[in-house]
Amino acid sequence: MGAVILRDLRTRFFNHGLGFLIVPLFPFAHLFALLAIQKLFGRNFAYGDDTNVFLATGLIPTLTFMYVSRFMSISLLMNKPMLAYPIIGMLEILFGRAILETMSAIWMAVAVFAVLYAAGSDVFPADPVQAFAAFAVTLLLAISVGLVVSLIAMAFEGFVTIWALFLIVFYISSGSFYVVSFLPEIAVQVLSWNPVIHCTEWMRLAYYPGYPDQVLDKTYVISVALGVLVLGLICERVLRRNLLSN
Amino acid sequence: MNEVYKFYRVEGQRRYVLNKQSMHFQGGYSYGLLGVNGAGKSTTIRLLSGLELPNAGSIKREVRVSWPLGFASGFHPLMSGRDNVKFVARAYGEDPFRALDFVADFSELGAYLGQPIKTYSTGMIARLAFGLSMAIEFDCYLIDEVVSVGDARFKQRCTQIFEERRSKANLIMVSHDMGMISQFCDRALVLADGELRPFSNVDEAISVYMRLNR
Repeated sequence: MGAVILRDLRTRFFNHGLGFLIVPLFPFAHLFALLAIQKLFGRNFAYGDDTNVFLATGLIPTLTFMYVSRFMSISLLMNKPMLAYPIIGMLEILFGRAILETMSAIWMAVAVFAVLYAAGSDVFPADPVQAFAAFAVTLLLAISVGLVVSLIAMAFEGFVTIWALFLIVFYISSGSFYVVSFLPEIAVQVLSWNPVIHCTEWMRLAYYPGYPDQVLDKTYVISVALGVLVLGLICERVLRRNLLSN
Repeated sequence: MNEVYKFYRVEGQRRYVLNKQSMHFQGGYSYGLLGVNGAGKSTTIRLLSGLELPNAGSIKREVRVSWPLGFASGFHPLMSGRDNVKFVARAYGEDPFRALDFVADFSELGAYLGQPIKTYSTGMIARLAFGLSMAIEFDCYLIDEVVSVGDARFKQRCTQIFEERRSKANLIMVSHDMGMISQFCDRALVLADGELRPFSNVDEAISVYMRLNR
């Protein structure tokens, strides 16, 4: 696993280990571009007294899900040559990538809060344990989904593009830019199927004690994350023979 | 190898490489694997290495088995030869710097070892791959046709190191060169129609193979 992580780290960007530092910059730049745009257009914040914190508490889980699952989804395709050595299996590649993506997501979240803190925002959650739990469950969900997508992509490479398009739907419906509970009942019902929305709601509840949380269902999002993880592991077991033969 | 089935679907039909085959490869013996083109010798070697899995049955390895020797497709084209060697050595639990010293000395690639694999010629890749195969010590080497690469002088070095390794390890070898099979193997198997026929006499196996090849 250590050898796989080191190789994955080195081959991500510029053929150098330090190239990995670029990985968290994608969601970091994405988030600050959105904060800059809302500042430019002078939009009102949807909840709380700081728009940056409101958006960051929604975008950190959403972007963590998007980028981690996306980078996980291409991990097997990118590292296919490693499978030429029998000692390395698909799960080593996938879990190696999961460890790297977890480190990257933590780096991104810390960097975002450091910049917002430096800019004068109150970035400390009212309930740090819940904020940590929301972030951890988001990572679990992203890794689980990324695991399944990467296996599908090994069998059908075009699925990587399909997944990228799916992520746009997750992004728009994640509740990062609005308070879900303020939407019409029918919209709330439809959006509540999206597990990512529960991650953003969970994070917001950790920041705003009075946040309207009728949409939040922690059991649902944890069940989806664990269920998809189990599904991914079963898929790996069942499809391993065919995927390795290709 | 216990009741192993391996088949591919060709135009809706199952084409068996191994059809419920059981085999015990005994330590202390080197085996030659013979068969006509398309019989599935390379697939069998890949199954033995663990690169491919059987459709049913199991393959148990009780010793450290190599990947098919000379196999170069595991190299990352953007990484240098040096980094590729270090990666494989680490993956197999070897000291990466010891492996690198061995490959640098054996492959004679010099400064090219620091260059990305994509800049290498086919010959250079073969030399690196062969050097890497020899840098990591296995109890059983799997050989699919390749026992030496490069020019005449380098081939001589390959044979020399290969003989050194063979004194301490066993081989399972696929080759169309019957001279090589006779030289390196103590026993042989003939693969035909999904069946592995064992022979304790290599010459007998070769004559069966010759008949199949007519």
